[in-house]
Amino acid sequence: MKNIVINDQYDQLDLKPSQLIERYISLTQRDVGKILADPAQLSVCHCPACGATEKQQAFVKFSLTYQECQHCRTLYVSPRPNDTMLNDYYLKSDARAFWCNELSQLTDKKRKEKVIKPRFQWILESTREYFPNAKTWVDINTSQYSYIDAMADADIFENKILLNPYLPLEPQDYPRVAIVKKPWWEEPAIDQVSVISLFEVIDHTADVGRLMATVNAMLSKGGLCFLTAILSSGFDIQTLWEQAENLHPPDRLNCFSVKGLHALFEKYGFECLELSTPGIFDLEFVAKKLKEQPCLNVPRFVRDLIERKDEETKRAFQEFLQSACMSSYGRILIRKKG
Amino acid sequence: MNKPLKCGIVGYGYMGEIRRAVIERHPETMQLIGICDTNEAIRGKIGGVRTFGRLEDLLALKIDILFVCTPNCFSPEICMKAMDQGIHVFCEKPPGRDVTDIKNIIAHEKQGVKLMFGFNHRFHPGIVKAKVIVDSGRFGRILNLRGLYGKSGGISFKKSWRNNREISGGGILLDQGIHMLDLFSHFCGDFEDVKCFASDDFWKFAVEDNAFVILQNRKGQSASCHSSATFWKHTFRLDITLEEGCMTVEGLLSKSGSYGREKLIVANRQFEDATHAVGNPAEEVTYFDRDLSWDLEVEEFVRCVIQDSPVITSSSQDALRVMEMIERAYADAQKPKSSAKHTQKQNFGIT
Repeated sequence: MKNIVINDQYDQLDLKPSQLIERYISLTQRDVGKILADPAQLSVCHCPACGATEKQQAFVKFSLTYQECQHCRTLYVSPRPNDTMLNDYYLKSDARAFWCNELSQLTDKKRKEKVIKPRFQWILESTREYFPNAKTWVDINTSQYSYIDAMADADIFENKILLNPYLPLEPQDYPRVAIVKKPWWEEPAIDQVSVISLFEVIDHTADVGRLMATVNAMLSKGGLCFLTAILSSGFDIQTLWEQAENLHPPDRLNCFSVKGLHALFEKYGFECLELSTPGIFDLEFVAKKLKEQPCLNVPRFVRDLIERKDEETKRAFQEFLQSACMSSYGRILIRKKG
Repeated sequence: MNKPLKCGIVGYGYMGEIRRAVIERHPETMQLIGICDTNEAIRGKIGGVRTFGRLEDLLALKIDILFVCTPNCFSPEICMKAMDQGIHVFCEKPPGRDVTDIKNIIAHEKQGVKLMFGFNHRFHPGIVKAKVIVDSGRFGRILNLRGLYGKSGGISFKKSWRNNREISGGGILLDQGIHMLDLFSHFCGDFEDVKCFASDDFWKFAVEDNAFVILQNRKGQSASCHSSATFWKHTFRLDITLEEGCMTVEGLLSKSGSYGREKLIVANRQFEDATHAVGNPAEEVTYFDRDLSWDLEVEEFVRCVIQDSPVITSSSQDALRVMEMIERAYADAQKPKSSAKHTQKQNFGIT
């Protein structure tokens, strides 16, 4: 199995300007209250990663409760809305519209350079390495138009399919990409797929087991699935816990641990080829929070690191988090077992 | 489903044991039916399979594949004998002691009989990934290569047949440096111009314990390799400089772990962007934790046998190419060098 470490220099504000993020979170909180918070419609669930029933309440956010799995330490919302409700939320929510039409547009240039280009390079090179005869690539639920541009240009695939009910797309918008405007659980008649990409999709899927079973059924033998997700075992999540800005429902209905992900992949017939945490913002997230809330209770070691150490030391610490798989941004490559 | 291919191993030292483990990990395609070793004590320790002291008795079992894991001086004759009987051969590197040996082996290659050599470094995960990146054209053409490959010898090093010229044909360059030169060839093809300094300053064997090889090919690509038996810290490092970026494969997954964690470092050329530190580009480091090289190379060989397709990696021509590079290096090392008084007494070349 591989583990990737990325040493790059840019600021989280390049991708997530504070004011825009605050606006997005505030819209999300309002939308969750309007669309998802009716207790009568929520269902109790077990750990979406390892299936364990033992859990402990971690905290409440936007009136939804996060549990911590006592077996694999995955954080997950339970009781939770189902995927149909989430689909409804993402179609109607002002927060999602704001993300797609404003936040991601305003940060598009930097995202293309720092997020999308490396992600597509990762897909193309890994496909050449592990599945050189790949023909079909399916992306499920990308939330950014730039992904579709990059997908259209990926000439190593004969067929490119976008499975996405959320973006207001028409077939003529992207002639080189087939657009299927259906949610994944409607099990569209797509099989013998070489590659599937799920960028931050498992984070906001209610029935992750069903998603992984669907992905397995769609893939051909040896087919690859590229995923990204936020991880509960990451430094900033562990340090900030309920204060972590990027941890809120419904975008992070699930926040898997590394151990939990391994259990999930094993259960649904996948071999893990790469599990990396190439995040570069963990320390920066904690520093930002400390600046906003100087009295925040964080370990003395962390406060000392943030407030008294030089930039080189901080960079080295972030690199250590990556190499030890302890950053909260996860990038994973799995292969369907033969 | 086809029956598994019947396999035999000749030579049951370190490599023989590795090959046995690989065969036994692939029961659907291979079945080990016999092992030959001339050493009775070694044969006595082998369990679970028939053993033989004579090669002829192993070959009489009508095996499909012979794994040749013997010292260099014996390999050519064994390869030739097996191929003459229509047996596919997987032979450890080096392919004999010199260019004559590999040429003799090639002369016995037959249509439909497969021959592959154990240049397993081509199948190491860092190298595989680096090759994918080079072949994708993402960074343009390779400009040059630099390799360091060294070990420290050890208590039993003096007694090793690898340091007996009669048996091995050469020293550290032929034993370990050959992998680095093979990788140069894997990435850039042949290198026609070869210069070399070699010495036996520390171990005082009749073979070199250090070789510094500089190479250039007709495409103008240059390479340098330092192969050493006096690296007290075991080291593997291959730097690949391309037009638009650079890569380093460092560390090597091995049984002992002594070469460090295997990783591939990739960086884009960045000097146009003055806002970033010039010469200190962002890097992506891939760490690997599973060495599948032994399995992958044998799987590739078995695929060629089953599908009757040509061996295109670690082939006899690859073996010839790298042996020619080494022969040129040894020949150049023998030339008097004005700066080193003791090089004149050396005879690292092939006689």
